[in-house]
Amino acid sequence: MTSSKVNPAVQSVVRELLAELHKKAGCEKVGLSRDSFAAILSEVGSKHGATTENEARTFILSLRVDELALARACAAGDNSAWEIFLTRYREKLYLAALRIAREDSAARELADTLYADLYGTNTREGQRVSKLASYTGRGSLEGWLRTVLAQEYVNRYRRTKRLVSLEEESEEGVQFRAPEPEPAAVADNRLSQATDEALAELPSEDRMVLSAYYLDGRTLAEIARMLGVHESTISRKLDKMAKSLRKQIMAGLARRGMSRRQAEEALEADVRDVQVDIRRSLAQESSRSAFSEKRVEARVPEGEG
Amino acid sequence: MQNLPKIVSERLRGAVIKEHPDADVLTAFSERSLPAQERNSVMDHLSRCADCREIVALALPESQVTEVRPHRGSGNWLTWPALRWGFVAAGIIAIASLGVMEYKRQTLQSTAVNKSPIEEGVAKQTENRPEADPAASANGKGETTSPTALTLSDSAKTSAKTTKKEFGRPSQFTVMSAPSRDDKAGIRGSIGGPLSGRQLSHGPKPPTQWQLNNSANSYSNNEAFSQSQPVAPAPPPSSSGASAGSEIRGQAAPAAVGAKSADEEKKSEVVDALSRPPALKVQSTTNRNESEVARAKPAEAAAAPQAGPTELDQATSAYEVSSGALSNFSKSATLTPQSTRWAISAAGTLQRSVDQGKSWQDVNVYGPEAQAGANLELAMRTSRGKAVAKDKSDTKQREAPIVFRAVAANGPDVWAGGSNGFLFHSLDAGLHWVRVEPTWSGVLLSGDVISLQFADAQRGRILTSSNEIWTTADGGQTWQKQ
Repeated sequence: MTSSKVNPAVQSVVRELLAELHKKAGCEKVGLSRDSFAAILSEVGSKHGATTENEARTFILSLRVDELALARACAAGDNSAWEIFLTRYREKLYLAALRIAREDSAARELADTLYADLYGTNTREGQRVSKLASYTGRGSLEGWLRTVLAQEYVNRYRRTKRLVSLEEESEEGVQFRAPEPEPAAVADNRLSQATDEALAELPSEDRMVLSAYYLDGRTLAEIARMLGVHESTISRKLDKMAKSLRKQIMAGLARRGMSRRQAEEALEADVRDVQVDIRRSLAQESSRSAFSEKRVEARVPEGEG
Repeated sequence: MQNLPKIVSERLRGAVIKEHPDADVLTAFSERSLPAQERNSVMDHLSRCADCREIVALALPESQVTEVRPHRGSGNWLTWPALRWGFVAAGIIAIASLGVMEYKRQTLQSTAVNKSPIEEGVAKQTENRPEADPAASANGKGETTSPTALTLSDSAKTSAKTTKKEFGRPSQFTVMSAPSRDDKAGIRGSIGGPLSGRQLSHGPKPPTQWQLNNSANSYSNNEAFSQSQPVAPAPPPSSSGASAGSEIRGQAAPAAVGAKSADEEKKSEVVDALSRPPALKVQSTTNRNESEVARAKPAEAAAAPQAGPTELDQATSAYEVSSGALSNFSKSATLTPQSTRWAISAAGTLQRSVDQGKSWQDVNVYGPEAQAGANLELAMRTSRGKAVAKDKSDTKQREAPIVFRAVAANGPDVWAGGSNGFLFHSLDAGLHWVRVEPTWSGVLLSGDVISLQFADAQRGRILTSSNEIWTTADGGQTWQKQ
């Protein structure tokens, strides 16, 4: 488990905090010895890449050591740990899968797949490798499980999308599917340059909000929860950004030698399509998810057969 | 807000990214436990990677939008629609009971005549010339009220049990106290009797038109009356209490004044009792008719001053009973703190379990009073009173919901921290909370509290999203920043 390049700063911090954390994490309950716990901590710490002792200390202290200990004990195959894990998370896992897949049999399959991964059906060098071994305690174990489920779901969707045959596509109402977004037919690349420039100036959070709203078609409430802020904050932010972006792009175009009228025209030409475009991207999103459900469903017999 | 140039969406799409943050980091991101710098880099990735955005969105915990607010009122039925129906129901009951009383008057009058000659005289007087009745005229009430009042006082005299049966209302205590005073007061009975009886008949009842009109009158008259008559101080609180209770518009101030005019000995207690109705109201979860309880409680509290000096003990006990039943939080005071478990829900609500984690309830760090105050505000719409003003400021404070990130407990000593440097400390297992704002050489703790560790009640350590470590060695009195 110990990686070859263990950070000295991390190790000294681990040594310093080990007794306290070992007790706090309840390692005895899940049958995790002090040494193996120390190994886990230094592995996690080194992976994070903290360089100074102070950084390492902050990092190690921010870990959820109890859940980390539980997860790693499960990964190591400790029975009592598994019992605790199952009583605590089995129900939640299925519920989360149901929320993600939105359909019972698909949810069941999703959760079962994850269980297999968690238990470690894949073997490497004769040892079963549990997915729980990759949990590092940075977030809650429950949240991690949800994220892993979502990852699995997204990956599967991406895989299955490629498997859709033409025949099936026509069966499943491909006419509702928006065409792939055509490459921007921008004759004048000054516009795209100005846009890129304006976008690059935005803080990453703003860009993320924009993308989530306009590209992914997320609702304000969803975005707000993703970022842990209030819905109205997102709404205000979007309003403000739509205005300021327009101004910025205009300014950028002016710098590139466009007259005000030309710039307006270049922008306006697109604005007419914006409504359609947004609706389309929304429609795309929903048809896509409807699609993926069917795909997963269709895969069930495959997987079992 | 759709007014976004198409080109922007186009350019937002960007290129496909190969490297993704792992599940751990994404989880920590959505739980907001990443240090600011790392959060930014993840945010940057998310702004460009649709897949990861989808993962984060899909992995969101169960929607708890309504539960995020930590101060869910426990009295949902205290909303206006519910109250309106309550009024309708109460009105029907009032009319019905008036009819019943009218009928009983016929039968009771004869027994009253046999019972006491003094009362008989008054009764006769009233029947002949209602305006001449001192009580009736003093209170500015119409003819219809005084006969009813008389019969009621009679019934109160004959036996407390009968009265109980007749009313079956939470104001039994008031009823019971009335006869004993009458017995003691002797001659006063003829005046005090009708008075208190009349108060009884109206105390727990819903407002009828004339009562609303008269309540102010009767109150001022009673006060004037109290100057000359030693009996009179009793009624005013009751009448104003009744109107405060039934009218809902909350005449809290008159009630308080009325209480002042009552016996000096109990003044503080009475004021206390009167200032408590919010709590009483909200927390009363007895199986009585909802709206009735809501009104009857303040009336009950007001009944305390009504009892004369001789009933001091009883009055106190009445107050104690009502305050004892008022709060589920007072129940939890008896719990052993060791059995309490603490957790943070996925949505960032502070939760407490007293049954080894079988069930969890949300904890409001601003305390039950604030909660009750908010409901009082809603129900009474009154701007009077210091308590309400204080609650208002609390409400303002609570408008920004705190998203908790960490909690640490050592027996009854509990610390909870969350977004925007919010840090709360409770010494009594979550009964009362104090906001703590750690400072060190003039610097305030900033960022989100992402981890809390307390080795014991004295020594603790806080980690913030701005990568700071704060420690205390004296239970949060002073702090050091590393």
